[in-house]
Amino acid sequence: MKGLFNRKPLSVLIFTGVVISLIQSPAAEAGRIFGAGYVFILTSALTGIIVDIFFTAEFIAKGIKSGDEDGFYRYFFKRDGWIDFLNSVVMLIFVSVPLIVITFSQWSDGGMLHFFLILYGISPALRILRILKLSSILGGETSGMASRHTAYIANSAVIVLFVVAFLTQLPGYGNSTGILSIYFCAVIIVILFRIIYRRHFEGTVSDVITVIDRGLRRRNYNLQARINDKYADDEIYKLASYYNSVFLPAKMKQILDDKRVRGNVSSKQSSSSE
Amino acid sequence: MSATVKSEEAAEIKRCAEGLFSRYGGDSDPIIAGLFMRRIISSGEENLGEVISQYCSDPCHDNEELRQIFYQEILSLVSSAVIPTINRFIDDCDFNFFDAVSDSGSISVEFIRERIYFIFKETLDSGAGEIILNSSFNILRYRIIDKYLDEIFAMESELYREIIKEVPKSFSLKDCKNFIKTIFVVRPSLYPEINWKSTKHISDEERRVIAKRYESRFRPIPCRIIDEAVKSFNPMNVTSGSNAVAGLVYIFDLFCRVSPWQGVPEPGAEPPHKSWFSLALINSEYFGFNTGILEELYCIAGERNW
Repeated sequence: MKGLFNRKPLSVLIFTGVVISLIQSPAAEAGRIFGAGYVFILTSALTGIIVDIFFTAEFIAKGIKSGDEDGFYRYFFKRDGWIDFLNSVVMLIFVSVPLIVITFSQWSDGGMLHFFLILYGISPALRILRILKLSSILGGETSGMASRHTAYIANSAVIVLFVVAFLTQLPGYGNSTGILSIYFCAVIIVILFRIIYRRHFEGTVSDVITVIDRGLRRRNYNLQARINDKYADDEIYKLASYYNSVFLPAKMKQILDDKRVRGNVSSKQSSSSE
Repeated sequence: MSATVKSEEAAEIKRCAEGLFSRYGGDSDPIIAGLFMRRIISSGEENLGEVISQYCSDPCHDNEELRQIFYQEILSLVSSAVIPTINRFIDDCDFNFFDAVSDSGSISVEFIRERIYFIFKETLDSGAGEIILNSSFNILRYRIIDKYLDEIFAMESELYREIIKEVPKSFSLKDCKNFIKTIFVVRPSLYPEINWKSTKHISDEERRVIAKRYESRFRPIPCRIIDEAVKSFNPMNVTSGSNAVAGLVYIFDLFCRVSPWQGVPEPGAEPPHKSWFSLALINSEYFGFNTGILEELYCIAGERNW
């Protein structure tokens, strides 16, 4: 989360959109379950469609931009493009548009209304997929190991919860309030993995690897890897221990014994040009 | 090949020297960059015209005049990067401690400043002090002595007691800092003598001879400073007697030969000074470090997160 608001204005706008959609989704669901008034439902429907149109525009823009960079395929499958798609086009078609049509049902004929009611029937489960967008935002713009691993876990958990929610909507299974519980479970899972577990992963795995990698590559880099005594038996810390106590001392000898550093070059060289 | 270098060509060569200086890390390590570039010229192994041509639009012919212009430009670049730091120390130092370590009576501070500046500048221009210059420069640039002596004196540790035993009783913390910093400024000038001997150990007798010889040359620098500077070239595991100051100088010299890592604190990494002292402890026998001093420095760096 740190530095989130230091980003470009567009990123802040996207983050605001995510927050609004995360509030709007359970609010709309709660309104449906507890029979909220027309104004509440209308406000919720309009907010939802505005956010989804905005995300659809974002998805299209990113898709076009990716064509100029490393390709749409890479954006869609490797850089959370599929999450953007689910949270824009899919939400617009299956959640926001049906809700708007139902809200303004007096303008629709009976056949069309029935079609949108069917579509809207799966919207509670689909809304859980909005949390994938939260996961994507919390991952930041880094493509590091910690981000990828925590994304994999958090997104898998959200998809499992989506399937569970979908099944509870089938006739004879579960109830409507169960969907809300699943929705909040998904939010907690994403926050746990993408913030708390990610920090743990960085501290105990990826940061240590980064330090060792720099020590191996950069001549002047001699920082030791910090070893967490609690996990000293982990393979990564065994490697770090070897790097600290064998590799770096040998590197120090090599650098300080270098004739340029040790200063054993004959002074003839310097005096000859004077 | 001996065509005269025109003024436009000379200006181009100067621009190339600046570009090369920056490319070889002159902004962060001016002395090392300067040494490296001077070696290119001095060794004669490289065709300077070819080297310069890589960075210039117009081809240059290697000749003596070109080399001289290039050499002078490097000197000027190194000096402008290094001298302000040295001057800052010389101007800020009151050299009050001279009276306590010298019996030559009261000497004008201005004269002392001039002499110390001259000694350092002469060594810098000649390149004779080689890499030792770099550690002296880094020591002053990163205020290493100020940082660590403040801590050592605040802790009143074993090292503090050893230092106090070695220096005159009238020395304050400030005098101790200035004393050690002056050793660092003078030290590179002595290096050719030490290097020429090509020996790892300088005996007490040899040390006294060198100190006496340089005392008259470096007047009014007290013999005690020259003596400590020569002593500090000896690995401490082969030095007899009291050697806290020389031991500290010896460690800090190697610590700053290559610029200490100046990056921001990195997640997953130990702080740079702590890391270096930890590695030095592992290698203490190899380099001849005084482990007692190193352990204290390691603790200070660890506590202060340096």
